[in-house]
Amino acid sequence: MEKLDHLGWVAPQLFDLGGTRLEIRTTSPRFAEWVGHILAAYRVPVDGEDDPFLSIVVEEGPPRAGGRGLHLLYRRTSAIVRTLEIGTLARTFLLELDRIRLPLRDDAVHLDGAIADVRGVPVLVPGSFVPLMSVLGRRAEREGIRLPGHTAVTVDEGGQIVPTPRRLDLPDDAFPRLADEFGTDASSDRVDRVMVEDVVEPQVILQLAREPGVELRSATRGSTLHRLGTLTMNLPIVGGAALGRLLPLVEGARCYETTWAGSLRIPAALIRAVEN
Amino acid sequence: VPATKPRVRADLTIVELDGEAVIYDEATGDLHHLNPTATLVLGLCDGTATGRELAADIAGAYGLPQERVVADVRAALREFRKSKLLEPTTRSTRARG
Repeated sequence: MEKLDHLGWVAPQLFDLGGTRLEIRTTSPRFAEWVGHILAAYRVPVDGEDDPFLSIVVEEGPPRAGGRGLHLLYRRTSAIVRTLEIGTLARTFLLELDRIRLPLRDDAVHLDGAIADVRGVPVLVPGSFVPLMSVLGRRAEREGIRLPGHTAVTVDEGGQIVPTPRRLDLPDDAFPRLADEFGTDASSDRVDRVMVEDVVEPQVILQLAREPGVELRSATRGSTLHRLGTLTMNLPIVGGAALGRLLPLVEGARCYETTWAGSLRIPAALIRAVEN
Repeated sequence: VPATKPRVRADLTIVELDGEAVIYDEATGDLHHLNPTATLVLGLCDGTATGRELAADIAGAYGLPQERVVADVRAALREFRKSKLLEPTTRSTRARG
């Protein structure tokens, strides 16, 4: 089993995903072993030239007075997910791995975006909102909001959001092995974040307003299409056809924009957008 | 000074939605968003009319004062040129029609 360094991290592991190198570190020797197992085909020797790209904090200590601790996944310094479920952590981790190569893919339109479930209504938000939202935790749950467990969405030729096809070659026993390490909590079924597992038709698209002080207001479909275009990670690869694929998405949704002064105002903006 | 007859670049991807245009320029990777007025002007930039003639067409169609429309059209064309949405300038002194 790997040892922890003086800062509490297991020795980092370096991987080469089709020409993209990324260093991964975690506080958990068990999670490090799991990562090493599922990504064994991509592992390369650490040469000290890379900074951690993904950092995974796994809460393994005894239960605290306030309840279980949160597992966290960081992309560089941004917390992508804070969750009680190791299964959610693992699934978001795998999505982040696939996300790295999305700008180079031509199989669909890949957006820097995420789906939140707001009182049963799917809402498309920019991916940059996810770290802001990740701090909400139970506050969001109390408001009837399920936060995203992903930071990229895939739009198919028909303009529908579909699960992102996985390109990583992972062993079949990835999740059973995780369950072996962490028990039933690691089941892939136990997720407390929204994952795109089927076709999703967002009824609301919420974008970031360009000027400050906008609590919530309607956005034109044209400006929303433009904004989604700017969020398209593989726009140079797909080209102008991307706009045509995004069009049905925008036509089928109510479009809003907001300037979020802080994370605590996010639930109110989301709920107003849905209930308008 | 001979008047130019603006023509939108043929290689742009233009999607129009609720009267607003979203344009992708593959050559530069730039995305543009035009308001309804600019979208209307761009749609008329087919290389057959000068800016003043475009303004006259729009003023006639919408019953607007021509001088006001001329200013709007000029502003839109300036923006199009700045954003390189038009074919390189061709000049003509001949009247249309």
